[in-house]
Amino acid sequence: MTFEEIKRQATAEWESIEQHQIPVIRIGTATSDRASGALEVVEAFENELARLPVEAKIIQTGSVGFCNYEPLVIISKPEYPRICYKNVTPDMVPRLVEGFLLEDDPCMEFALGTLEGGNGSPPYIPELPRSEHELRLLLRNCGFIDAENIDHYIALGGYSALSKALEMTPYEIVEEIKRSGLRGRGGAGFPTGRKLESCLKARENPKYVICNADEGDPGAFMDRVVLESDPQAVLEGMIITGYALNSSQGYIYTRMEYPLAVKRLKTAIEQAKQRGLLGEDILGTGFNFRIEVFQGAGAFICGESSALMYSIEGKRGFPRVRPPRSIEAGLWHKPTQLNNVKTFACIPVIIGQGSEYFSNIGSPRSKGTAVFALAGKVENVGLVEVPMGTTLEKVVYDIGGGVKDGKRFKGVQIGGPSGGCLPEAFLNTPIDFDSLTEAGAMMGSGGMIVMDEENCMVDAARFFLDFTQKESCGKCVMCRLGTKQMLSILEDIVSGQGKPEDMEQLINLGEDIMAGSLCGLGRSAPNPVLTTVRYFREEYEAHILEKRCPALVCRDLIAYYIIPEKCYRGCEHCVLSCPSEAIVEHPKRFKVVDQSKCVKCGNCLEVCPPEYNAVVKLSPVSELPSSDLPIKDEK
Amino acid sequence: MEGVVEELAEILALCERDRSRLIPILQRVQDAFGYLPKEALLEVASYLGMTDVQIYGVASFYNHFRFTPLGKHPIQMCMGTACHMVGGRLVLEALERALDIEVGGITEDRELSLDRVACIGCCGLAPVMVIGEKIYPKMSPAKVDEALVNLKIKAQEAAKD
Amino acid sequence: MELFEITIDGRQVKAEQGTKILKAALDAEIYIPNLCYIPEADLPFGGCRLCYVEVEGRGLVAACTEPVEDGMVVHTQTPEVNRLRRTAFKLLIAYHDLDCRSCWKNKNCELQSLASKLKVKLKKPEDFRGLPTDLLPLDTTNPFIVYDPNRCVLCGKCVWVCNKRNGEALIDFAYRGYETRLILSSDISLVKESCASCGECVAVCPTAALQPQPSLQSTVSSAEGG
Repeated sequence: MTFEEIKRQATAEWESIEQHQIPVIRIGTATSDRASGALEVVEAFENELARLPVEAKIIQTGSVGFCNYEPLVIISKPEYPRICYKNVTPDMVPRLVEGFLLEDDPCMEFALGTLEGGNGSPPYIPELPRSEHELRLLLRNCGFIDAENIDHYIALGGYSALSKALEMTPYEIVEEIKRSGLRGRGGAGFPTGRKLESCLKARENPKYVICNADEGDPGAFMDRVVLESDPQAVLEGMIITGYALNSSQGYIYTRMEYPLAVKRLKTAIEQAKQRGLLGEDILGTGFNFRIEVFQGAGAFICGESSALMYSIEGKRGFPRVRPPRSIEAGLWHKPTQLNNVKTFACIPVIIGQGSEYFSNIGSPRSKGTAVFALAGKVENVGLVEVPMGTTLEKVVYDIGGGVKDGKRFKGVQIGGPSGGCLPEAFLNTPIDFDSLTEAGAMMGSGGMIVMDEENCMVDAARFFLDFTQKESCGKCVMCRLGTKQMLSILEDIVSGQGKPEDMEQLINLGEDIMAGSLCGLGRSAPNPVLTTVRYFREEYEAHILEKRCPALVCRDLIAYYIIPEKCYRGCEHCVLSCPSEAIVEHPKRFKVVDQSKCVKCGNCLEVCPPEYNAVVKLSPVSELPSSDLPIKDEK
Repeated sequence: MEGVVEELAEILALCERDRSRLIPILQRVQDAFGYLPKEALLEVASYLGMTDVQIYGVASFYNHFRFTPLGKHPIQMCMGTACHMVGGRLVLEALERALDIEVGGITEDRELSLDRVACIGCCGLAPVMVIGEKIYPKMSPAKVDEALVNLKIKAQEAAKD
Repeated sequence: MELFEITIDGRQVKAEQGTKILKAALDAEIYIPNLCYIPEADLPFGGCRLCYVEVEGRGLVAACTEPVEDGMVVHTQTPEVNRLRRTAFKLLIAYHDLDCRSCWKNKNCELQSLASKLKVKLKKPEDFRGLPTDLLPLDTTNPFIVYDPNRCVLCGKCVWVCNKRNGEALIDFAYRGYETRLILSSDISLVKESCASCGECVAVCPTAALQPQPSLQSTVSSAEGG
């Protein structure tokens, strides 16, 4: 089949839905949607539609990425704008079906807003303030198309870039990508066009194309959403790259913790093959390209390119020295082009709409958009996509809706365990590769965690270092033993055994590990520690010199205390909630926490009725009234 | 454990006999048995013409591969950043207390095991706990007992069917 | 192969294109500290992080990894270089069993030799914390070789040598990160030659991590090893 024929067929399929006379109900069923109960909502709709005399089509889509509003349902009824409903539960479904589909009440009390765009162009909800600042380019199809139906992707413009590319020369494709200014979205931000050019020039064959979908940063889930919601975009990017390099084999290395992504990728590959867009003789040009999905076995280091390639070869993921670079000698010592999921998803946009379209977005040295997984203490948790150059403040406040529960902003962690924590003073930093690196953070793969006054920065540093230390491959001395030593110091600090010289020790050791490690994991592991020591020094000093945790987090430095005057006396909530029987009754009938038994779980604070609010956390422990201090010589 | 060798032979027959396929092969073996029995490692080594030392060296590198079985209902606590920031560690400790085992352990009746799991990407629902394939969003220490009781009830109902 | 001219610590040295700085230096009898370097290996292991040098215009690089370039100027003894080397070495000895007197390789150990070259005392660094207080058990499962994980620096030389000699690794790395150890096995009916105590792993080991089983020690003296 020619591409025109494929497109015609797909468009017909799409129009049978869109140019509808019957309503269409889109329900997101990616992983985070399912965790919120989306499948039960699907079932509820199916039941209602069977029960009532109303016809409608249900499409299960990927995720729009508005995680705090999931399960999200978009209903398109003829003569009405598309309406997006938030936090839909099975109980709401009868109302929606009867009220809106059967009658004419759009139930706006359940709605987030109306949906504009989609259909191939960046979607947005005009009623939401965030829409002014976002540009959902890479995410244009997410939540809108059925990720398991290739016709939807094609009807909205998919694979026209491939069709165009197959009539260009490899050199022209590389030049176009260079002109776009695309920089790798996996973290380091290396210019993709230059990397491609070097790989093209490499003399050896065969060449390989690898998509790094091993999104290992804890707290990052952008790649997962793209893979579960618009997998064809990634495939198309890989096929175009393969064509440019005259490669015939591609791999997508995914984490095994993403089973739905793996499933949808495999379905997407099958469907692309059936249409002649992948596999043998692509679109009749004689170009062959196969893509295999390889599942990782759980090792953060396998997000490092040389370790990833060794993993595909069936080996331990020990990174190797460079030279040689992977573009000259990568997988099985052959030239290999490795890129992140989002980088590949950008390629159809660049080839399809032209490099100028892409380079007109963003800032001078960072083109295009940035996709972030915004999480933590922020209202609107989920995916955010902004033009490069947008400030952190816009992302956290205008798009993210600001800090939850009226708490105070403390910092934002960008770049996961390889990145840094930036304080309030840096909120006007533009989001681009160079500005973030200058500030000490890192664009990274796109995780952005907002922290408030109840997060302890020392504990955050310890958390990240604990992660990198456990995930270190162990090959080189600096990282294997250096991160272990740094972690030992941090553990002493959070448990009240820190020494005044510890901050200098952390800085010196951190700098040496950054300069002397073999690979990127070791070189960036000290980042969270170094940035927090730099920007939140007072917190470290409080922990070390006063044995105090200002955020009331570090358990060896805090105590739970029940204020006698506030305790209701007749109430037993806290006693019943305590897992270690640490709450006893004072002769005057108010409750007291037995510090020697308290495990600091926080249950009592959670269950004390709001009208009493008798339970508080104190730090340092010496703040406790003497009667409450732990009895050390019990029994 | 004779059953292992036979079942393994069936699995290996479907796998390409190439040492670069070691990781997918180990994944299939673990999917079948729930862990990597020692006999299986020796058989895989033999099948691929590698030494047992090499197979063990690769398998022990990766978090996913286990050399001891999981519980019938494996409980996993997400250790992602967002989950940690909202008290994930406290939930893990509550689980340890409720089950009377440590992380990495298994209850005596082999019904429940407790492990940490790397970030599963549902950060909006932190702290997240996973039992089997079911995701339990917005956990807190106070919700642990209820979740375990519900699990028991469901397991009993399933056993009756 | 083009012949380049480089300068190391003020001395002119000639080296073929593609040679790494470390080899060029050692061949010209200029010492650069190293522990995991194997001259015959194609790809440097790059694990010990001791061979740092400063290259003018480039900064700090690992000498085993960096190929020479014509006109390159190398300094092997700058304050930054020495600082990195000392940190790497201190980390190594901090997590090492430093009871030299009871050690099989006493007076014949690479760490002792490096300590004197780097001018670092062989004792646990005082400013380090949380260092292990218990020793890990010895691995005595192999009938010919004993493995002491408390004295292993994970340089990878034994693995390389075994692979080279036997075509397959009868000794290999296992686990990951701080838990990384070597494993040896006696259950190796699957390879052409079983471990016949060629002794090469023991011979190449820079420390006492690999020793012959006591019953065999009389036939292999530690003075011959290393």
